[in-house]
Amino acid sequence: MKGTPVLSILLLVPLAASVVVLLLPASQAKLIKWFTVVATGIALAVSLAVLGAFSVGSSGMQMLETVPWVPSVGMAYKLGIDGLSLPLVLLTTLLCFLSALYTLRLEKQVKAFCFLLLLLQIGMIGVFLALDAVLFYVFWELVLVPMFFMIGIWGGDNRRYASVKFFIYTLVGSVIMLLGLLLLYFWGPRTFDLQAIVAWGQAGKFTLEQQYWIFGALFLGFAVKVPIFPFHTWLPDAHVEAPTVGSVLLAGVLLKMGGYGLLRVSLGALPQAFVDFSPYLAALGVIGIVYGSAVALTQKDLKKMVAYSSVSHMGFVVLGIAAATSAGVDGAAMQMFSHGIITGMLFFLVGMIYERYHTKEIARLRGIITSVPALGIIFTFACFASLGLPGLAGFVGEFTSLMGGLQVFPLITAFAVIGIVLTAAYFLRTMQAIIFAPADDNSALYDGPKKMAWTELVAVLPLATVALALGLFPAPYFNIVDPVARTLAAMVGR
Amino acid sequence: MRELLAFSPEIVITLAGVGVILFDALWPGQGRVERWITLGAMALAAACAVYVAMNPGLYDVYFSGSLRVDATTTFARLVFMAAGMLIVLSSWATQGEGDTAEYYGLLLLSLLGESVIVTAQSLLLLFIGIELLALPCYALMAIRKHLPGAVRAALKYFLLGMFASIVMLYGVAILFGSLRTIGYANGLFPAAGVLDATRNSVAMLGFLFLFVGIGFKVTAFPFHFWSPDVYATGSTPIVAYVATVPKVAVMLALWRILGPGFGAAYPVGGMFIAIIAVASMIYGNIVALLQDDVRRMLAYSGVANTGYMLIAFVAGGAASGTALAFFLVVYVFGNLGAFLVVMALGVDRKVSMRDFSGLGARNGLVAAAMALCLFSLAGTPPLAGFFGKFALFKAAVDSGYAWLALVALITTVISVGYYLKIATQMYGGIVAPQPADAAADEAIVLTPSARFTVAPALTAAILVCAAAAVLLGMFGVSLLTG
Repeated sequence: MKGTPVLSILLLVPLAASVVVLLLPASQAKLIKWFTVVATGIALAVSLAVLGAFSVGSSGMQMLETVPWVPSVGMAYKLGIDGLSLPLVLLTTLLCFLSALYTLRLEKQVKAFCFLLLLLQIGMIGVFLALDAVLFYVFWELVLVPMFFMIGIWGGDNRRYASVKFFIYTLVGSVIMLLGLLLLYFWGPRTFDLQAIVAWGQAGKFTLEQQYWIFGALFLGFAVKVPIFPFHTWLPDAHVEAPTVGSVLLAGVLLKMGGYGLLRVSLGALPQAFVDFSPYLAALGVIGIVYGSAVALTQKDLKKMVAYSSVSHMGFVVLGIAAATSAGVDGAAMQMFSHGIITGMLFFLVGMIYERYHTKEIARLRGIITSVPALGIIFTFACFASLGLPGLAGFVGEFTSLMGGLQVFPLITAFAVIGIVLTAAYFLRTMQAIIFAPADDNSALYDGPKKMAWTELVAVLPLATVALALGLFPAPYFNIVDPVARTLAAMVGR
Repeated sequence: MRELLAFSPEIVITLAGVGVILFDALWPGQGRVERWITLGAMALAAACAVYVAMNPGLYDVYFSGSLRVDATTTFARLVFMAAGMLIVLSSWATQGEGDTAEYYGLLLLSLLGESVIVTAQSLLLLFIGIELLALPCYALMAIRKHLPGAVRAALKYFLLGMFASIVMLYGVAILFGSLRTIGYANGLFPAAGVLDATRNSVAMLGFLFLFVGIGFKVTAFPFHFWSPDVYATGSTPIVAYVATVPKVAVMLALWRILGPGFGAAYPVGGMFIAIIAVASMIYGNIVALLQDDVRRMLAYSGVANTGYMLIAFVAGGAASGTALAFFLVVYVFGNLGAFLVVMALGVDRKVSMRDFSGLGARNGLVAAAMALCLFSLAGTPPLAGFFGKFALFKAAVDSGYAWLALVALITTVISVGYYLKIATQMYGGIVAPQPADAAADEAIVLTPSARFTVAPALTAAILVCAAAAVLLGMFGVSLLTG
């Protein structure tokens, strides 16, 4: 096994599968869908093999692969994985597999959708594995294209506006990020090797002024992706219009790319700028927490509410990153993973509700527990997980992030409590209304089967299991992340 | 005999150019045959260029030092022939049968002019090359005379071009007075310190005048002023040609004249080019952002790209030379591709941003190719444009012109704006939801039944350009190292 380029295989599986999908005739919709399920299943298996081979407790990069690309300018195809990226890769492969299963229900333009799903998977995995700035950027941009089409073709009524807004926001952000990456190259070690760049920054070779400029450029790119308030306005539009699978992957994986970038690149390479900027970052995080939950409270559209809850939850990630203590990074990493699992689950469930009631309006949804009991139960579970009920994964992430925040910015962090209360409020209110309240004249009708289809159950039950397991036994997760978190905290002297 | 072999590509082109016109005089109305003769001649010329390259003994200076055949020549010949073939392919569908002989003949002769420009070793030969390139273009610009603006565009192009040529010739005279030579076998300007103060300043004056002529051809700010009007109203295949190929020829000639050490030896001249470069980048990119007519937008983006190319001359050094060559290829294919798509959308009329609306649904292949070309021009990795720009910026930073690279980086970010405008039109359709007329428009444009068909030959030419943008990025980067 040693020496096998596992990480390249992880990228090659969806790549090969996407080519095969392209070659299959569009009329064979069923075959294409099942093929995609198998392919993403293989990718999931490979990622689990990576987990098996991963040596827990080490903070360094593992399974490194380097192939020179343009050696004269220090560009290479370089992949590696550590405790920070491993969970995110697993999250990606898991959500892609479940999305492929859910896609079995899709009728419209199946071939194109499966192709885009696989393409998206390459990009997402690539971002978390790339250790070369240009390669990182290529994957970063690659993610943008399939998501744009997913929203633009399979989205809701206002899809065109939402997809273009998403595209412009993220592209402008990432072009400015590219500027930052190029500055890292020119002012830095004259290589795109991210490890070398971080080592350069750790040696204090970037001047303070250089650090500020680069940090600003990178921050814009990452902030749009997270999204950090006030760069979040594309998110509700994109989520509301996106098809279910698009929303799941957007919330589940794409949002994590920004936080990952901050930790992987900005923190290590620009330690002083990071420290100087971290109070503002923390403040933006807390504003995100409070603002996101306050706006979620006022939403009439169920999907939009979940979208704003994402803004709020990602605020915890930002807060944890800003704190940059080992607890803060642990919390941010945990919150990224658990948010991916829980919000992914919520978006699946919202999609299922919409399929039945043909509305996402909270005021018109009533009594799901009586019409589809299983859906009601799982939705309740997901809401509790999302609002941070102790014993479930969401709580662990939020709690640890807050702990990190309190160590460094006690005053700012204190305000986050408002957000927690508001979050509980809107989830409980919504749950009470749509799950348990009896139907009235105004509510949408559904008199289909009371059971959930098996494609629906297999999409959400694994996520529920993970959310519960991680909530009860978070230790294995922290064992993987903590060494990296300590290293990162040491990099900024916290 | 060696001469015949070394210049076999030019001989083939000359014979074909004259031959096509004679052929038409003897057997008129055989447009198809003439087209195939032209394509065949270009392919044969390219093959001859490869043959010359494979026999290193043929790389030499010929005709008592007036023409040089070397790797740069080979490179230029191949780019010219490839671009020429793409132009012929693209005009397959659009060219009327009546005017083909002149069309193909003049195109070939103009290609010959470009070869002369690149092989020339003295300013006068260079001048002849430039005229040989330009005169056919003036005529070609008006060849579709039924177009409302074509004759006016040609006249404007002709008068201004002539004026620029005269200024350039004047510059040659001044340079001769100062340097006492017009040959540039080893660069025109002697090493620093050879000229005394007076001759040095006269030489700089001459260089300034010379640069007017060159700046006109490569559309450097402020000598670009003809290009938006001419691009917007001229015959599109010829505009596509004029916007790309002559730039390669003249830029390579300028590199031969100035050599890698000009900026360091003559700070005044270097600063002059740097200012032109900065002005071109800033002006071109910002004004391009404001355009709705896509041909005008491409004209201004051409000005901006010239600015990027000029960085190589300021920075100097061998790395700049390779970077420039690579960027030129990238530019030719990216821009040619964009122009050909514009041509597909409307050869005889103004093409505005809205014409791209929903192209992604109407003709996915062409839209994807356009997107690739545009994003390559914008400099998005891993497409070719990124590596071209990156190599240029790196050369600038390495030779101490970090501020120039910074300006280039920032203007590149600006440029994404207008490339993106087209991309969002193609895939996003109408961006902002608008009342009544937009809804009607959408119904016409975006229903699958309104598929937009493009002639196969033109599609092929567009796809070649897009493929170049991808392949040069992934594999051609070895050009930069080699």
